[in-house]
Amino acid sequence: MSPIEIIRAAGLSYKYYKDDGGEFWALRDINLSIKAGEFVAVLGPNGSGKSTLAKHFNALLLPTCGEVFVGGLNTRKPEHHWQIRQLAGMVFQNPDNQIVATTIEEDVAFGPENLGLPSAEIRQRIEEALALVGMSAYRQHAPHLLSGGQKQRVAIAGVIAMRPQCLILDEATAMLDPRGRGEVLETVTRLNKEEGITVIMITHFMEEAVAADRIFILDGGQIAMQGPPQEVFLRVAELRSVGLDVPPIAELAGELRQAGIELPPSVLTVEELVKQLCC
Amino acid sequence: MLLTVENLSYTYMPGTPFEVKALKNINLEIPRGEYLAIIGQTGSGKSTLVQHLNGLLKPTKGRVLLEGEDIYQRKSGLKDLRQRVGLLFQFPEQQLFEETVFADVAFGPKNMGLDEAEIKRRVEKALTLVGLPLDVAQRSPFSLSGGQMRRVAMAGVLAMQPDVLILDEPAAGLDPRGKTEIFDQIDRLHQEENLTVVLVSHSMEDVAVRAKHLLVLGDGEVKHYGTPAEVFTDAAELEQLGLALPQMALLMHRLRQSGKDVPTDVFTVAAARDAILRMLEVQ
Amino acid sequence: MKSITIGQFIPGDSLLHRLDARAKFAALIFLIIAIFAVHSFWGYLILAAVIFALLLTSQIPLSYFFRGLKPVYYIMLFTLVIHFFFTKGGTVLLRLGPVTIETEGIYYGFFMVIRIVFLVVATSLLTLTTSPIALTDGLEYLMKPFSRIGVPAHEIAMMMTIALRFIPTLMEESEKIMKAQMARGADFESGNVYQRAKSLVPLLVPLFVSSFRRADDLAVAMEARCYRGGEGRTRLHEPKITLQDYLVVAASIALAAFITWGQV
Repeated sequence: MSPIEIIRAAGLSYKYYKDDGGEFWALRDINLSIKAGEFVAVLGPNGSGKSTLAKHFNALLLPTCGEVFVGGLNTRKPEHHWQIRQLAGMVFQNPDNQIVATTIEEDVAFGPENLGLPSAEIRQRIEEALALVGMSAYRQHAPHLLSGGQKQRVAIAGVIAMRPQCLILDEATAMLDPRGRGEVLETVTRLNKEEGITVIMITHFMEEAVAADRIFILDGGQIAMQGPPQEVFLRVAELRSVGLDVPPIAELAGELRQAGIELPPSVLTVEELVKQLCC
Repeated sequence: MLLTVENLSYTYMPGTPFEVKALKNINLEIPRGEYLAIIGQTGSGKSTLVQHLNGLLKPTKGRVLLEGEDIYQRKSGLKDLRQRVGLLFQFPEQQLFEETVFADVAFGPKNMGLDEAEIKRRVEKALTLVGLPLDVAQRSPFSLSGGQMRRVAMAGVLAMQPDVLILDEPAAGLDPRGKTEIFDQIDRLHQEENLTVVLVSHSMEDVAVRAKHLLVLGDGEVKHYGTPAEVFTDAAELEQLGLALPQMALLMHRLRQSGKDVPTDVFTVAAARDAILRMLEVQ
Repeated sequence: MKSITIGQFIPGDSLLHRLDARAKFAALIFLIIAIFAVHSFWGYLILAAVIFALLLTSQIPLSYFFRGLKPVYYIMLFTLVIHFFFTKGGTVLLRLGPVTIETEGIYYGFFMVIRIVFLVVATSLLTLTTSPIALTDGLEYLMKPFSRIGVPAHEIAMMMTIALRFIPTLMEESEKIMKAQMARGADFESGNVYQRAKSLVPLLVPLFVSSFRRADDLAVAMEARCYRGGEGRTRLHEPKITLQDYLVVAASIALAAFITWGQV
């Protein structure tokens, strides 16, 4: 049985008007399909359209041309929007600007409350969701006392409490310090592996894409490259020209290969390279 | 010595249940022409430390000296100090407020009481230094891109012509290209304008190749101080502080642990390639 | 700046903490009626006893109530002085040229100040024992009957929650922007009123800009979490009215009635 498709974009283009009245095509003819349970990273420099793309997966933006399907539902139909937003939850960039309530518990409750669930059910979901992101000890805390990484984990819990099939992180790590980034990445990787939740990670940090099953590189509103990280990271020059960094180990491996040393394409981390060089 | 920090301690909200000892007995010397990177986790005290250098925070104990004089006893006062020790906060684009880029960059020089002609000269020089074309001067800062706004904020500090430029996480939130550009800009200011630079960062990767000296803070204490090569020799302790070594330095450490003979002061991909090729040749 | 007590909630498990916010609201209103109606020594004594008993029940350190009184010290002093000099009656205690201080003035002055203390302490009892969420939820429920005549009950409550959520964030932000401008030589402390007001521009403009961006972001984030107004929305803490709540409200009505019609 082939895995179920959760998100499909067909001929998706998106145009908006700039302040000076000019048109700007943020996305051009995007075609992609994401399967349930996949971990997908969407990379691209600022202005490449990656956030615009993410907002189409949650029906926050609607295509100018083409179509987007989430769980088989067309985002063009307004009557589908609530179901789509429950299926595909979204975490945003600024941790401060997405926490609504004055306590963690109340904030995680916000989504389920909007779904109209009975309060006993909400309570149970809060408990589960906070446990999954490792924030159970902070139920009664005020959000402004948490670190950036903790706030983003709370935001993830707020989405998880709606029992989505898909979690979209729209540059959710961009404003965090390395520890916070690590916390978020570890949390979503676990949700993907253990809970089977589809993860779509929008980011410009290459290190975060290493763990993905598949990478899309966006440039100028188009898909410039796609494939598993091992393949994409071999194309050092192309990545550079798009304005992205190559993970340093992948770059080093490339240079060593050029110098005539045989290395498999899977070398992306320090541990793997040490293993290759020492055995 | 340009800046000296002597036995500095700082306690937030002393005498309350919220009391936090943010800095504990810090000693530090910053000579003219220095390129210092202060590294530590969030909460290690690095932002608190730099706010002492221009008198935004007053030490609970100890003192800060500018050219040998206690900054609170200089005749020219705190305003003069803040002009000489320029501080750019994290996400500085949030501090822009004027109607035009020119007026915003001119805010600092105006507060110094300079005349119109001098202000104009300084604003134009500052905009050039941060790599912005002069035709943005009459535009609203809010019509610019995020990266450009950050440059305007930086120009606003440079226009005061400080001796020292302190930057708190100047690359936070930028994409890889933006990050490289801003760091290159800072390098140029250091080399061409002979500016003394203090960089605050939580990323060793970004600063290892650039800074002359590293100061590693943890729990408000100085954990390490020295050249990057000196500081990175103690890989285990840095990792304990939650600070990731630059990837290349980490690779060299791991190779050494596996019994290979490689140098540890390697921070760039090119240097690492050479080291590994040499290692394989010896075998 | 971080020590403001407005709307501060001290978690606890006292009888007052457990009461439903609506019941506390209603009881507070009747208590305030009683505070305004009281006009005899015995009446004041009864109210003092009631309020003191509530203070003890709340298990909240008395220092928090004193802190709540701080902002009204000047009002209290002003009231006292006004009554001393302008309320006439009784015997003359002191004569300074045309100005006299008379016994009635002393009585009324002190009684007014005691009323203000009662008012502030009674209101603090509500805010200190009720979480902001319960408070806004309570308001929403109490306002619901008025939504038929166009009062946006849910929206008002949601706005209050968001305001409470963002006050600490905005305080932190204003401190940061202030420091950033001071690093550019801004001076927020000296000069006359006009100069000081003008010096706030570099603080206020960035605050407004960021608040608008926050509002924008928050609206998108709320929509992404299926928010669509109060319609069909449930609550984590569905308020439950218990016998205790009815008893407290009944007691407060009895107190107000006794003081008002009993001429106490």
